Amino acid sequence: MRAINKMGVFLKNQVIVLAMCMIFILFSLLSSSFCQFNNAMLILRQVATFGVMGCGMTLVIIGGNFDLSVGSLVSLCCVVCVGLVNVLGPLPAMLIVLAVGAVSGLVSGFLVGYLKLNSMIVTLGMMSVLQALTLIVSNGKYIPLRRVSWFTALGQGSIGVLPISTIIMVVVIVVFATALKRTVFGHHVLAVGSNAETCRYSGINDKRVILETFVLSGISAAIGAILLASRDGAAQNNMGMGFEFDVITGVILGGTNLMGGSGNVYKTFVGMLIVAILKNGFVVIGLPYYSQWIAQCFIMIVAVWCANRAIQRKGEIE
Amino acid sequence: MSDNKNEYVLKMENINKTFPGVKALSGARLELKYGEVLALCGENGAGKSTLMQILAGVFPPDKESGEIVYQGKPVQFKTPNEAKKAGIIMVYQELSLVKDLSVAENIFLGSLPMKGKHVDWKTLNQTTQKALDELGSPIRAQQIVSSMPIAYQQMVEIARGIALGAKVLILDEPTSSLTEKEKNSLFKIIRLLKSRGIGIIYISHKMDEIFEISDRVLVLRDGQPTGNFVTSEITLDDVIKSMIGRTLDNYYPKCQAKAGKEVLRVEKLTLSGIYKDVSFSIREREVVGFYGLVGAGRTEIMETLFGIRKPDSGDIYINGEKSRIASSLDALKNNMGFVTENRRGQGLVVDKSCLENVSLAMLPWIKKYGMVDNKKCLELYNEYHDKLRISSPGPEQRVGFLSGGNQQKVVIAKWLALNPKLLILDEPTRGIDVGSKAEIHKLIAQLAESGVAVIVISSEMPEIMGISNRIYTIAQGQITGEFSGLEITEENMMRAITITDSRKEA
Repeated sequence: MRAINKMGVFLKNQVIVLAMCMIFILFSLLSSSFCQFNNAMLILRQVATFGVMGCGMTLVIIGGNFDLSVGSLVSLCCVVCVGLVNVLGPLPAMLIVLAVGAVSGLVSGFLVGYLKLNSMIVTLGMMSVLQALTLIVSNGKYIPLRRVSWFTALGQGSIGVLPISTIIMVVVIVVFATALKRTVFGHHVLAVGSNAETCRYSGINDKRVILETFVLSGISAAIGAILLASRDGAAQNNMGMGFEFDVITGVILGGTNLMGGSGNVYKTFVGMLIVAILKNGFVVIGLPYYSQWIAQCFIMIVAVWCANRAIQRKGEIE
Repeated sequence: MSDNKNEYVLKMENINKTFPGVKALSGARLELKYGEVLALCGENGAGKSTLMQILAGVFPPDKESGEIVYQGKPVQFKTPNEAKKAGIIMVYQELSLVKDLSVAENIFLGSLPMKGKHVDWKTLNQTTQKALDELGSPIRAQQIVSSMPIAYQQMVEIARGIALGAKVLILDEPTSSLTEKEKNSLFKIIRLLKSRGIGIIYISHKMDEIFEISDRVLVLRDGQPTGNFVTSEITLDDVIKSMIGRTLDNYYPKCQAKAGKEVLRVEKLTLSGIYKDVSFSIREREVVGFYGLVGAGRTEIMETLFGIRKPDSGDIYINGEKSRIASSLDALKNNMGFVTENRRGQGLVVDKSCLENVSLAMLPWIKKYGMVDNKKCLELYNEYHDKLRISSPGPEQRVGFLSGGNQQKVVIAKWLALNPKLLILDEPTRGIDVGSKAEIHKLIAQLAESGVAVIVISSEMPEIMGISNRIYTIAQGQITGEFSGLEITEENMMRAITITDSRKEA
């Protein structure tokens, strides 16, 4: 009896993994070209950027905020990255891109954490600012990668069968997951997201914790952008357009509490995989491009609805 | 009054309620006459709320329960609305008014008088004003609820109950956020309602109030009725005995040690509009009480000591050295702890486990290679779980599920884990049961004897007089008196908290 109960709890906790498997099987039945090795590798390459970005977004949402600027930040970072790789070489370029991400997060984080402005509004504003900066930096032009270097290997190369970008993503996920679960900072994020007031009375600098989540979100978007620029070997103004939507969908599917206070980086990754599988699957079964947007929005709403029901049920027990 | 005074308006017999894993009520019964005030007592978790929620239709009793007879007829309310319509009105601790609407709109919410398709504002406001005047309240019908103090909001809530035709009024800890004066006007209203034949169930932890206002006392313990008294025939000890099943000797233990060297001194601390020229000091092995009315600036002064507020001027000396405390982290580094008044809002992270709450403030000091030392956290939890006798199923239990007394112990454990030299407790026993209250009083004395300097803020005079070695009185943001030893009398303190105005004139 106890074993069955435990099993039930386990299944309930892993319901998102089950959902992913079911979606995978569904697409496999719908199209014979879906469940192929090459397609699986393609999904893994596609998910790398989102998997990395989801780490930062998970922290921001656990802290009780949203970061809508990550899509535009990816565009800006891609443009800066490719432009600078052409001039300075990969390593300096990448460091500068990471700094760009951190500074962008610092600005949002300061406005949200210290000035207590609503994060939706702040990051919506940042979204426009970053989009404008992208256009200024790129002059509105498509920027191809001119120098051949190891840079392209990040997004295109493999070690054995595993894409390098996937390996980088896994490393980032493990680092973020450990940071959240095991470090003092992670515990502080979870506590501030639940009750910032109590934290303020308990020697925790809640403002700074919020700022740090945004900085990490900016950095993770920058890493995502590096992988994306490397994979495409070029940069465009609108490369990250709509990414914030995909990333937030993935985080919600991963079960992070939209009101803050709880969440899990590994589950966010599963959520991202679901989004990637769906996007890939829609293409494979030949769903028109714009219908995919509608379908994805529908999925996000279902995810939010499920999350709400879960929260309500918790409330009933109390 | 058509209702016969000696008839029962309500009878609940043999009420049982089982929640998964817990028998919340077994064989509970309650009788209430028209025009009677029945005090309902019991430690937190004794089943008071459950019994009231069954009465108000929040959930049904177990199948094998007895009857609920209301106005001579057996009833079983299925929803809170049904109970409300029948005249059983519950006024909760957390008020349920729509804050942005006027008093009149709140009272007639859902049944506004109409003139055609429009609200008949004139009738609405006039009827409301009449009802409020009858209660002897100074509230105007058109006032917006959010602009009024809690005490007035509570009056509005009661007035709404009366307007709905209440026969039974349930007041759950109604005085927990009221001042002495506000309490007296509430009692005046209760007496008025009594004379109109309304039966009142009064839930409270405060014994003096129970003896002041109630006709009978019903005591619950572990879901069973353990006492049913006529108030005039019993003493405080009788009630306490049946609440906890033992007598509490030495209800207020006092720290007996000799005070040591000065730990904290505050000089001329001023925050404009809140408090002014506040100077005081505290030594180790000393319990210092701060007594004053709610809103006198007590909490704000402590928040300043703890770095939550910035003073306009004045100095804080810790161990004789002038210190700057700009955040709670600075306070922690100076070995201070602060058990806040608002337990759920500022003391706990209610969604998180006991373990996480106990170690919350400690984390930066118990990390190992940058990681949280889970083993150390668990050790801390176990240590204080035993020391404070926190009754919780385990370290992973969410704090929100614990009773008020145990929640408070978790907050205290959080600060004790830091080995504080100065511990500030703001209303440490508000809303918690008698048993836990006594334990906390004892703990305060023990802490002080072990060398800690303890500041206690309380609105309860017996409590502050019982546990403090020295007392400062505060009124309107100023320290108006300092008493120790035999000077600590009710009269001295009462005078000190009401004299500011005359002193200013002088």
